Amino acid sequence: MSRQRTMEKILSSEYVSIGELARLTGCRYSTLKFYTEEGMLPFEQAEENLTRRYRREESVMRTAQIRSLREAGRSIPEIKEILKE
Amino acid sequence: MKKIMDSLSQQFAILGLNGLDSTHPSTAKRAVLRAVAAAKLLEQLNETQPMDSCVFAARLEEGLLPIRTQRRRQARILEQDIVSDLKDCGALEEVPDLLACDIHYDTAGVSIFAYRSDPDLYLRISESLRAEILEDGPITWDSFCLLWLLRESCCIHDLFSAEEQNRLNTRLIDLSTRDTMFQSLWHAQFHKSLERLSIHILRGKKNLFRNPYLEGVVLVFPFLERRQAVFIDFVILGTTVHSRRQAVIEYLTERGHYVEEVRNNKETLLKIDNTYYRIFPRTIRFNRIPVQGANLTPVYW
Repeated sequence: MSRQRTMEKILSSEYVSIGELARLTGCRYSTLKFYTEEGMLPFEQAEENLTRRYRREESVMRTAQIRSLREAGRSIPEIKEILKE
Repeated sequence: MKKIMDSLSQQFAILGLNGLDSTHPSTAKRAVLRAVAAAKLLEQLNETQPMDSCVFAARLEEGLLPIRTQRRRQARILEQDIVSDLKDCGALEEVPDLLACDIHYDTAGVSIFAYRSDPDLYLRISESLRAEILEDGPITWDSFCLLWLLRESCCIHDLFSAEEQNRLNTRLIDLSTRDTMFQSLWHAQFHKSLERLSIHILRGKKNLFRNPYLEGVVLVFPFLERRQAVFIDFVILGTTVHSRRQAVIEYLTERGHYVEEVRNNKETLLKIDNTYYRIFPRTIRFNRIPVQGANLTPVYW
């Protein structure tokens, strides 16, 4: 029976789950899932059936970047191009 | 970034109290306050060393007995405690309810206030819970406790759609068959059947009047669903649509609402406290006297 990690522990760890990432960024789960499936949010998965892990700092920064680009009026395909560069 | 609450009772209160009437007792609020008491009980049980599921079930059952028979006075004291804690952290505030601006309530001098959780905090707590449940992977004990509280207080429908609830049920049944601690909590209940029935009927009525045809019926008979037909009176003769809309905006702003105009193709909607409303001029008979004003009806996307 695992317990939920406190905010302090989350902020000090290298990897976070998608739930913890939603907690950190204030982004909707569906939005994060969409970004992941579109390849905009890199993740790691040890084996096929294991949960996805996100690098905390990189993912938080990437989410903030996507959000600011969306606010600037960029479309998702445009943002994908920018992120590839 | 606002501090995320780590305590179960505070996390649940942020989700459960949002949008509820803060000045008057209601069935929905009673259910939420009973769940807050249950959350406090779980916090105490979680603090103790990992215990056997049988011991946990026995202690839980013992603790739930007074919660099932929670009195109005006890509920009020609990509400004051949790609300003052959350207000101190800036996680909850009391805002004027739009319904109090309706001509019938305004002229009768009725003031209605509602709780509003910090939107950012609400989103962070609800979305992390949704992600944990809907995504494959382990479910933590704390999230499971939160789900149990949401289920017992009839708030689960606010966070999960009907399809998501199917997935939720499958996962939780699977989990409770594998772990006896989860099983004992999932089988425990503290809700009141009559209370639950009345909440479901009221929610069903609200959803029924979301139907565009029935929206018109509510405008003619507003008592059927008061919150979906708010009428605001004003006296502006021979003016434009824009100035009449401005009169409504000024009236609502004076009463502490956050109002802004939002263009939606040819139509202009009003965004009042994060909810979109359609506004149109109307004249009603109030005590046999024709009164000019505007009607506000919520927009469902």
